Amino acid sequence: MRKLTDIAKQDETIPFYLSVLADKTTQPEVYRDTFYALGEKLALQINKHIDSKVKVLLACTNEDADWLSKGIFDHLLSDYKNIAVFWNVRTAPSENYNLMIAPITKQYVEMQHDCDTLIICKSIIFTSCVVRTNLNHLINQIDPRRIIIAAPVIFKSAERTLRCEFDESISKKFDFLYFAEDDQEVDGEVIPGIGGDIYSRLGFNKDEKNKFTPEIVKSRRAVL
Amino acid sequence: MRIFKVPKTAYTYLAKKLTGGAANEKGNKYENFFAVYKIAGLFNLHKKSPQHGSVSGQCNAFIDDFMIDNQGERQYFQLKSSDKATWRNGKNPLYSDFIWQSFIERMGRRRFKLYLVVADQNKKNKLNSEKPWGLKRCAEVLHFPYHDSLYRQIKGDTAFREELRKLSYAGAAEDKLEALGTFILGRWGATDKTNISIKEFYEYISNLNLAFFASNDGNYLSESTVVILNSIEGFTFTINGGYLVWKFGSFDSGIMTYKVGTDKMNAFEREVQELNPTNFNQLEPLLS
Repeated sequence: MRKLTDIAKQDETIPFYLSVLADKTTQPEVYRDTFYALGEKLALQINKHIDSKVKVLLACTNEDADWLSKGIFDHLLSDYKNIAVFWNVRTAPSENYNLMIAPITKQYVEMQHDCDTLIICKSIIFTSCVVRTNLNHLINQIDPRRIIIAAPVIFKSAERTLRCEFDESISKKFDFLYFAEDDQEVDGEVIPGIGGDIYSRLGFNKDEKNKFTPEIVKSRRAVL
Repeated sequence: MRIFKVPKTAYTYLAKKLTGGAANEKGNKYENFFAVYKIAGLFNLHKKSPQHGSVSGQCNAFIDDFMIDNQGERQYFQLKSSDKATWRNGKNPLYSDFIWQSFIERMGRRRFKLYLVVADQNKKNKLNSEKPWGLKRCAEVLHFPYHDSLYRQIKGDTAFREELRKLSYAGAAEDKLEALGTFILGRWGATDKTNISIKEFYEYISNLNLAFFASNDGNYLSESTVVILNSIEGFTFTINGGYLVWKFGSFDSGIMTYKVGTDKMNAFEREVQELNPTNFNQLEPLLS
């Protein structure tokens, strides 16, 4: 069962975009554009709470960088915004899915040691091992005043799980921003979620997804 | 010579204890994370000098949560995650379990040490100071803090983190230590926890992809690969614990998850030599 947030209920395009994601017949190009549009919607909400003069670091995984994350990044009003992109490998040791881990094998991080606001975005927050791993990696190096965890869809227990994984001194900085909360999962897939395995929906071969370097990384790397 | 005889009633109690042992989730986590800690410590010993012993969990003994049997010496560990542990209180006091176990070890003429492990430092100090006379020389109370996830154990327990850090490559970040600890935990959970060979366990983990288990097998990249990688402007790399760890410019960094000398890394080297990248954009897809 899906519960829309108040933000999503007040903007009829958001439930529409979420339904496009959940529709398994949506083609990759439309799927990607929909994530970009949802990123823009997330940015609209984030902008209400940040000053254009604050330093913002936007973190994401490589598969989210060119669409969801870029949608946020392009519409963030901050004058001092940077990105951090992570390549994680999710694996379950001894095929025990209660032990899921997501070590970082590659990263592109425009580090801001005096970052005020850290935004971690993800296409969907489910087990939260990727978000937790990447967030922990960053907060070991920076001390943001505020941490916004943004996703179009979240699984019902994910917010509580993430808060429990961090000391209160860190978790009190968390602001969760999402449009829908789902409470069903079948065989490791949130229903309706984002319509299944994101890599294949975006048009990636799942086994090769970590060979993909987002265009936003290539373009910023070339000029910075 | 005094002959110690363990009464039948004690063995009846032992049978009940084994069927009801480690029932609750907190207790399970505490035992499992402690097992990871001790196994990691044994792996570190094994790196210096081969260990030929074994480890067991929930063994057939009065002190039954964890046991190390190493070259004739046995170490038994009883874990108490709650703060209610005492030596003498309760229907089956800890003191009795420890005394019976010490009797059995003496009857078997084994070198042994018994450990009570508690989650609270103050509790540890108190129990050590109140140690019954009969256990003065053969038992000790240890502190192992409780955390409700392996990730938090790594963050909050310096000794635990250090054992994993020594097993991994130099400078490994917490996500790599978590991966290593989780692989040990996963493998431990997949065994029957009975007489698991330290040597075989070590070799199993050291060969796992994504375990970030350092080794210095003396494997190196071929000279032709090194020449190509060195020619890429802004790209630097080291072989660290057998892993290729790299940086590019100010923002990019990473690690190949397969160790040098493995089939996958040999394939990487072949790809590098065939493609002969001259800049990072050409090299980057090969680094995954």
